Amino acid sequence: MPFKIPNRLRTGGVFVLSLVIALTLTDCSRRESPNAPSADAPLSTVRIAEQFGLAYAPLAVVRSRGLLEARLPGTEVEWIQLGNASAIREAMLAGRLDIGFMGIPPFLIGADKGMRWRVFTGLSRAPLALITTDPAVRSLADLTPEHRIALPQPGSIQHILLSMASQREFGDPNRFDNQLLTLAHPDAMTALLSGAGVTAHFASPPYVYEELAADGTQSILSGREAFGGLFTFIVGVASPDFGDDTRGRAVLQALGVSLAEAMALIQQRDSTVVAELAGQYGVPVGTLQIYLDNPELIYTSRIEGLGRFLEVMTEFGYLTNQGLRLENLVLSEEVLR
Amino acid sequence: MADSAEALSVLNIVKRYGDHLVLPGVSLSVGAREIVCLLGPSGCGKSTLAKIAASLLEPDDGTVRVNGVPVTAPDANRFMIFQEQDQIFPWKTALGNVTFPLRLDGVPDWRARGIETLREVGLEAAAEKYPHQLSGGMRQRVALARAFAMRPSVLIMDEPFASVDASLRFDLQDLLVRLVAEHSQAVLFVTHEIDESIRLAERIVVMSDDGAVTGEHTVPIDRPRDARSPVGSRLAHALFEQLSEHPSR
Amino acid sequence: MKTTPRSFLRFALVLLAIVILWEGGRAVFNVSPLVMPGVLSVLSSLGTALASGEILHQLAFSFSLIGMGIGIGAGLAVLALIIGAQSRVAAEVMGTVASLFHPLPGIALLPVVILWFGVGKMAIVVIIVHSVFWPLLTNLQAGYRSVSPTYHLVGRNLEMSPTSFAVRIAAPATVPYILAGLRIAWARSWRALISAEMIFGAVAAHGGIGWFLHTRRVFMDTAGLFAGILVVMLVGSLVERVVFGFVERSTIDRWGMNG
Ligand SMILES: Nc1ncnc2c1ncn2[C@@H]1O[C@H](COP(=O)(O)OP(=O)(O)OP(=O)(O)O)[C@@H](O)[C@H]1O
Ligand SMILES: [Mg+2]
Repeated sequence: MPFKIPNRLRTGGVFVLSLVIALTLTDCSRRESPNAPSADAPLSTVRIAEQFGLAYAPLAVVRSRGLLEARLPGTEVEWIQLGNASAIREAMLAGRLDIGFMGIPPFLIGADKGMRWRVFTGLSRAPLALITTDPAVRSLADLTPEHRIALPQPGSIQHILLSMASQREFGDPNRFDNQLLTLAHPDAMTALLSGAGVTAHFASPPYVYEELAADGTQSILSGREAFGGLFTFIVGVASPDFGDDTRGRAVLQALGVSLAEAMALIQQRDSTVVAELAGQYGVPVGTLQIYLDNPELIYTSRIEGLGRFLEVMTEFGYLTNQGLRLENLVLSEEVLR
Repeated sequence: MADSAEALSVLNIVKRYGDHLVLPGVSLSVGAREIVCLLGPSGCGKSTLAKIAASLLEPDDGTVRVNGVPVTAPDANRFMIFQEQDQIFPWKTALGNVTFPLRLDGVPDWRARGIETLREVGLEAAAEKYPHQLSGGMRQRVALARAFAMRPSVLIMDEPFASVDASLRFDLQDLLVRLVAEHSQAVLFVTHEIDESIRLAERIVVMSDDGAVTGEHTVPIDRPRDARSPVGSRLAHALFEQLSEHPSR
Repeated sequence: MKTTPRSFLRFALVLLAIVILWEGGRAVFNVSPLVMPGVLSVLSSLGTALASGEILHQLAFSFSLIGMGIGIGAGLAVLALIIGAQSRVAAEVMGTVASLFHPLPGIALLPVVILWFGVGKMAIVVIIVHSVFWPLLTNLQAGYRSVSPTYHLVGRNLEMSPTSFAVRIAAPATVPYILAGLRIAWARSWRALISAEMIFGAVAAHGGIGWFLHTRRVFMDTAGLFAGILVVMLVGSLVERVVFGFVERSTIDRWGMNG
């Protein structure tokens, strides 16, 4: 007679099993992770997450040209495309990611909650703008509660910039929080331009260019106005393990040099690089040239605005950890060298 | 043979299912206050003829008349009890089923009449029960009560007592006879039970395997009847002989 | 399923087992609370959100959208059924279309819905209608086909009009199919709603329970995130068991029509 497991036991067993699997999948025991840098074992892989957009162009060049791989013989570089900063944060928490690129505010939210990750480089400054198709809306003050504002997500750099502007103008950072729509940039652009219920979209390149080029659109707020100065749009962030370890730091340094090389190639308008990028962003080479020529789109490793973001996000209540210190948030270049 | 001015008459009914000729041209009639039993072996076409008589099935040829007037559409005054077991609604109580046609018809004292009819078929205790809580025979009686409560002038009953026990069957047969007398109804009663036909019928129409009417017998016994009386026994014997002939085989 | 003391006990035991395994797993693997928050912090997060009325507020909004979506979807499904009943060609065309659209997750339609209906409440309702309409139509059609031929004979014998027959006989006879369709419709629309809300965000101060989840996620409030997930699960199974359970007990169970 075949052995039969009682139904009750079986259900329990399945449950325990799935919990164990879930725990294993979250890979919480990261110290045992084979990829954790250690003094003697060679670093087999490095996992880097990027997002989509013109602000990530140097990273795209590093990837397509194999610039980092050339500097890290014997290490496999794994490039991962993720849709938003939350996904990057979660992947890093799960120990599935070593390096990620994102806006400063999502980085600060993670740090505030106790993630010991650190910024190791800037990537770009970019023209951000709140763009509307409504001719009656000429400034933030014209936005009524019925208007919808699309941005990538709450807590994103666009959201914090909007909060900063509305704090300055109306003394209330949360004034627009109840009329936000979380839409990925392409969906937001479609919705804005097709008149599908989005009054304004806080866009980044290349969408900011495409939207401003369309008929009847206008910018009512630039990122720079909102911030009150220059700030880094995208930063590179290293996982705690990576930043603490000499081998990890070597990778970060190699990545820094590779990025500098890529930035120089873009700066020189290297024709193959430009053609490649045009292909990636799906625009003609001439159009990409115009995009790159925008004086506000600057690829640089300098990190600007981190302190100010820390200040205002604490003021607005998005950050609650009083122990955050700027020096603990950045891996300085000296450390990396 | 079939008087076209009777309460219900079917004339020269022809019905085919594909190549299969089920009814080759059948005629019969039922008068008011008359119970006519349609007796025949299984599969000979009794149910088919009954549905045609209720205008629920269209014949290929022939006519159905009610009080001499040709009809093609069914009506609630020519009420059929089906052989099919699922003719009462599972979502209604016994009483709900019985009063369903009365309420559709706008009968004012539907409730009282429904309860009264349920009592007559011996189901007053089950009035609030749902069909799935009833036995097969009880369900059949609900269907019976539903038809009786309507007091139609023509009742077409297709083996309505098939799943009730013998003594209950006697009671129901007596009830039918009484109601027919009370309400001057015309009843076409399908059965394959010889004794039942003798107890119930004014006339018995015998159908053979090939769907043809092979005989018609008047039942010369006074009511209340005893099918085992000498006259009844002789008639039963004759019917049995007639049913045992298989002209088509 | 009935809520007997026994089933309640079983439920409580399962809950207890989850809590023990959860906390045990956290301790044994030394998991960061950012990945798996403690049960107590999840409960306190839930308590705060309940006390502030935020969760109830968002739930009410979510339910208003689902109610609207199911109402419109059911109305359209009945309409389509009636049209299908008039013409065989129409029914066949509809069957083919349904077999194409039925498996399509509502959320996959999102980009098109944005284009056609804009963003916000209307778009979410459209997605719910999509999630409701096809399973309901498919079930209604199957139910309609399953109505016993004898009922049709009884209806004709009683000289019932098509409308009267549909309302008084076909509809109750189809209740098992309607309920099965509604169960699928509910499960799908609940999922679609949460997904859509997580994508769309607030519509006039309401974003629904999905939005609640999304904001917890982006602000890395992991305890709040799990509190929200708990609410989504509880509401889902509450509707499943209590609402559908009640309706089934008072209809098809009572009528002995539950197969
Ligand atoms: N819808 C149908 N399609 C094809 N053939 C049918 C159909 N209905 C009945 N028949 C055939 O017609 C013949 C007569 O059927 P009917 O139901 O009238 O018999 P019956 O005399 O009522 O039998 P029973 O005493 O068993 O109820 C049978 O041979 C049957 O197979
Ligand atoms: Mg029959």
